[in-house]
Amino acid sequence: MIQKALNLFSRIPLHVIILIMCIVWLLPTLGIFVSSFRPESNIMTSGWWNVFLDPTSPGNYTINNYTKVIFGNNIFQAFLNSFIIAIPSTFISLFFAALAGYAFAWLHFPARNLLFLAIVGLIVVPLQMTFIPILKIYSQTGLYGSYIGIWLAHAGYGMPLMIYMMRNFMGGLPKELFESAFIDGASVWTAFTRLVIPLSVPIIASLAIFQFLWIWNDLIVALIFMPDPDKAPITLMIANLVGSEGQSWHLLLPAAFISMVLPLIVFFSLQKYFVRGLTAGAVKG
Amino acid sequence: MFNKKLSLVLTLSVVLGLGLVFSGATVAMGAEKVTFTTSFGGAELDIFKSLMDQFTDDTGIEVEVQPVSRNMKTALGSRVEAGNPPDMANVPNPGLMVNFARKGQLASLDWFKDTDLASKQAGGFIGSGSYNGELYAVVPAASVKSLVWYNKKVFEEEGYEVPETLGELLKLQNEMIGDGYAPWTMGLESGAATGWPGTDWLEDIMLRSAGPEVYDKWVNHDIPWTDPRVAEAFRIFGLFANNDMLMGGRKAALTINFGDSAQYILPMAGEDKPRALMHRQATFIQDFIQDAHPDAKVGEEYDTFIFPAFGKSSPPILFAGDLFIAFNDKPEVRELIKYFASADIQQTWVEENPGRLAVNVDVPLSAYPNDTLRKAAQALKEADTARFDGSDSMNAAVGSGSFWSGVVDYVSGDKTLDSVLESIEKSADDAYDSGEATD
Repeated sequence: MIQKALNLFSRIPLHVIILIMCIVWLLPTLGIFVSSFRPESNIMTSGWWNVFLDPTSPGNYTINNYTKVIFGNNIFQAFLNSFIIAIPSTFISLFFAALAGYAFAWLHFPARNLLFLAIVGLIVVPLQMTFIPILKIYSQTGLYGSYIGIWLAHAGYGMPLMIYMMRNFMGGLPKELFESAFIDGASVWTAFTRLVIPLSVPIIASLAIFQFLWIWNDLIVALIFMPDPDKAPITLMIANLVGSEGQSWHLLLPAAFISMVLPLIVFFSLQKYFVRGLTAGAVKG
Repeated sequence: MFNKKLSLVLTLSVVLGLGLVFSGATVAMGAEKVTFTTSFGGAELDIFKSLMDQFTDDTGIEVEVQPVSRNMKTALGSRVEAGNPPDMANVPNPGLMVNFARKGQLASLDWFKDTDLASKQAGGFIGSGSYNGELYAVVPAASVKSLVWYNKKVFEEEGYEVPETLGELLKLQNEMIGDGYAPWTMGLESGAATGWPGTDWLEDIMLRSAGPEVYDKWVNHDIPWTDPRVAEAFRIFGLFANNDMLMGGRKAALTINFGDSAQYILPMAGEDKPRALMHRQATFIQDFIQDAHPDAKVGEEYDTFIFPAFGKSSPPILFAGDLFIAFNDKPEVRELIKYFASADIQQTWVEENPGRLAVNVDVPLSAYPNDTLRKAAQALKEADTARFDGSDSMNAAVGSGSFWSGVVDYVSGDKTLDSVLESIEKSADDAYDSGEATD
């Protein structure tokens, strides 16, 4: 009993530190959230914490910023575009990364390690470096400004890391499983679909979340590869809310929360995979 | 079994691949359409699009407006380098236009000089759009930068006169201090671009203290930054940007955002006196003042005067504008350029988008929504001397780099004027490949 109390006591500093870190981390977000409900002139003239001086005054709050963003723009189209871009991109990169991860982990072919090293090396190539050469190829093939173009771009940018993670996870599966499967007459393909895929659900799910969120939040790739505003994702629409001298920047506050809704849903509904996936592939078998 | 599945996968990928090539190809075609990459955003983008719709109604030429907000340099630069530029774009600074022009990536607009519209352009704008004597950009709308926004009510109550010379301005700010006011509010903070509002001050001063010829040499780096005339301009700037004259002193000027700083010329909520009386900034700042004080009336509570001349002459005008550049010379592009250079469309533009000033001299002053803008428009029209924002015209490494940080160093007082100028000069030597002062 005493021991227990002592334990609890000794952990108080830890809890305090965690609490402080959470507050520091959340404070800016809270500020944006509070500000997004303040009238424009208040945002311009005083800090968001001023609402706490008079928290019940109705003049301190408004939903005008939200209605302006939602009804002043074709936000539903932009949301839809983000889905049209993010879902196939995620699927394409997952599909090929799973195939490649399996091949690098369990198939024997010449220069396997060399190829794997090359792909791992691609992780550190900044994507800005690739814009001009890829744009060149896209404009020659007509992919520029098409959904397929941006799907392939996103898939390409995400794949090196995904292949690396997949290979490390799949390499950790027990060797005996494959041996017995092959003795039972399974082909390479059967082993992949019946054995590897079901066992790799945690890594596939967590990489899917990572990739989806990354694409959802992306601005720069869309800016470069998707010139057509009718097909542009929500991030680009949000960026265009602000005038060229920074006018109306307060509209970014509600817009940030509107675009955040979906990633939050994805995150919370798939949270258990997310946490498990973080450590997946970390310990190589 | 294995081979069958594999061949299926292969066939699928081939079909997918072919499909995307063809679907892409149909997107790339399309007759008569003009693509226009723009930096406009928010309300100005909506107005710009409506002007384009009107153009389509009038001419039948479709325009696809591709907004990239403030990422123009990245977005446009990559596309141009990849050999896949839009038909047209608007860029805010001549420096970027010159960059494209030097590499031969822009379509020449010399044909525009032969049209009637060219003679209707206010002075200085054909020059701003030219590089090596060839026209590459047409400017349909501009903003005046040489403006001082001031609290009109306090001016009337205290009997302050709008100053017409540098001497009067210096006397006025001392008088204000005597009456217990801070003369100026200045905000240099602007994220990665911190310092730029100070460059406008220096350009305005340089244009007056050294004159337009020296100003041009300075922008082209024909005189070094260590030239005594540049140092003189910095010292004059120091007469305004110091702890006595600035609201909150130097420290406040460095930390307040440029957009927030203007609002202090009017009393803040719950205060009966404004915290400062004057603010030097371009026409666009009215949006920010109005956002902070929705009930304030321009021309009644606050107003502008032109930053005074230093001598007896009429004050020179510093301006900025949107340069319309073309990457492809086709009939539809020419139509669009002529359309935006015409008085009719510019009139609609300035009526609907306050803060923008027409470049075509046929646009009547009555088109502007208030006297304040009318005054700015008139100054632009009638100025004997007008120059484009110098930092926008300089090499980007200086004009959007060391000049900004130099202003910050000077205002903070961390560095001596000599060392500030020497470090800007050093970066200019590295960045410029022309200019007589380049070592």
